[in-house]
Amino acid sequence: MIERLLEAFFRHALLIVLPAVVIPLDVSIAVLATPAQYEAQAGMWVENATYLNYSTDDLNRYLPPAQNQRNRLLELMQTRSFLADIATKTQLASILVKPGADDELKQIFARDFEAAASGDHLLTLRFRAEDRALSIDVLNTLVAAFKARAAADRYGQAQVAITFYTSRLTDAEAQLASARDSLAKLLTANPTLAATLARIGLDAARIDPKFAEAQRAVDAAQRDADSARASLDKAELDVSAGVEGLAFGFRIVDPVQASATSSRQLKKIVVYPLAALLAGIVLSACLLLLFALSDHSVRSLADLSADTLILGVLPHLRPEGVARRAGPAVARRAVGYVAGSVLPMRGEQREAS
Amino acid sequence: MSQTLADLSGGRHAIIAEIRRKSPAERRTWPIPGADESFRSLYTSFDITSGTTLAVCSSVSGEGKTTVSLGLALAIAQDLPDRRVVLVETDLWRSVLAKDFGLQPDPGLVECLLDRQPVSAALRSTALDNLSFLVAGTETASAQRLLRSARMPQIVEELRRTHDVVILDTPALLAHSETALIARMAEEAIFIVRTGVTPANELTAALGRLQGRVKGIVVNDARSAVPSVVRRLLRR
Repeated sequence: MIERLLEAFFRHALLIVLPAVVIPLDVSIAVLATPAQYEAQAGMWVENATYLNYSTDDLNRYLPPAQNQRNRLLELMQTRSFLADIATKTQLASILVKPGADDELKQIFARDFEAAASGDHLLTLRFRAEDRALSIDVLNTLVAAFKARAAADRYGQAQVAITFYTSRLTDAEAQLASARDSLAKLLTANPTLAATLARIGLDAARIDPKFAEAQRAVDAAQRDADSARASLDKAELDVSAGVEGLAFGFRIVDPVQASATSSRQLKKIVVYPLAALLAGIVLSACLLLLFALSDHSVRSLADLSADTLILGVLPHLRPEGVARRAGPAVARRAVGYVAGSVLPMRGEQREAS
Repeated sequence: MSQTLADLSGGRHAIIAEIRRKSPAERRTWPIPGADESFRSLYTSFDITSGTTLAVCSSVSGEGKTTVSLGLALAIAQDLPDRRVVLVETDLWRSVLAKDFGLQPDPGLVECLLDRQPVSAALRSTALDNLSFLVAGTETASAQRLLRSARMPQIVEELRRTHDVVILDTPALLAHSETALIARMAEEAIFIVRTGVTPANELTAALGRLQGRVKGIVVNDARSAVPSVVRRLLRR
């Protein structure tokens, strides 16, 4: 098999070596032609709010907090409003006036922005730009916008809850007042009942069914009002705890900073051509295998069965000065020259046999 | 005043041999260095001196049957001037001899098979006195029928009677079943295998069609793309 591989390699040497040379060369040229970029990086420590009931939390409880926030951020990055929000506060604002600004912004962030969850809680954000100040500015703005958006979302949800529970409490208190009023009217209309109530207390309900009904209505309204008040208190607690907790849940552990030199460029110069070389070698190896395996012809005496008698081995019959890949007619005419055939011309090319 | 051999010896010595002056064709050197020696060593590997009919076969076309047939015929004719050699082109589908030597294609084997011409009239002389060609002849649509006709063995037999060595350049074996018939008309057959062309998996099938008539294999165009340095390293 080694002999076959070697034969295939040297037979198609140029074609086989080409990918291993051309691909790394092209990639190297492309890397060198790409302008140097600066990368700004920030580390964000994120926590889930443990004081909140998970059933009311919109985060996936089976994912770590860093992953949850990363997913949320990447979702936000898909919206035009969020990207435009970042762009307006940075040098990218100039893009917004151009036609097709949305697509361009999306392309820029898809290409140059990275959010990676490094563990359960650490979310690392990176942004690359040709201008160092721009990379820092965009990442700062992005972090601030993300935090603000998260706070606004939580605050908005809490406000909806407070409004709802406030409305419920108002209704419950109104019902309670109405029930109490009905009870008072009943007692005023029945002085005997009022006397009995004063003598035996609430046991009077056992004697008078109307009083019992009115008292039950007052009790039920009271319970509803208490429940609504408790829910409202909890919602208000959640709002304040959520807003306070946001500061804890989104801590910037590594403030945004960018290196003075474009360190990633160096990595690019080394890593990308090496990866391209590896890919080229793999492609070359595949080609070599393809050529070797697809060649079913006899290549050497070893390919002939041992019991066949070899009468002779003829070399490649080509007259001197004739093209290497000259056709069979050239060889025939050269051999037949002694018998009177015309000698092939020097440099003669392949002919149709 | 001219002198005879008898005058030179003065009648005192018996003349045991006469070395004839070679014709210009016999003195011609082969334009491919080493090719004459290759063909010479090839024909010495089988007994050609006693006179024989030899079929040159191969499994597919383009393996060098005609080149090897021609080289063999030339080497024998050049080395053994007292032997009459004829090369018969039986590949009626891909005839090349007439074109390569600038000859009229007819009359040839086709015309002989059609009984239009006697074999002797179709033979073409060459620069070598003892070498003749019987070219394929004009193109015909009934090549198969002609090669299978009873006339074909008669022609071979006729050539065998008039020549010492008859070399039959046959069509590709896997493409034309008539090759096996032609090979049976010869005493021996040699099989051409060209590196990089002959399909290894079809070689056994092709040899099987000749039913043990094959004297041996001639490996044509034996060249390796692997540099000799690498090959030497591999052998260690």
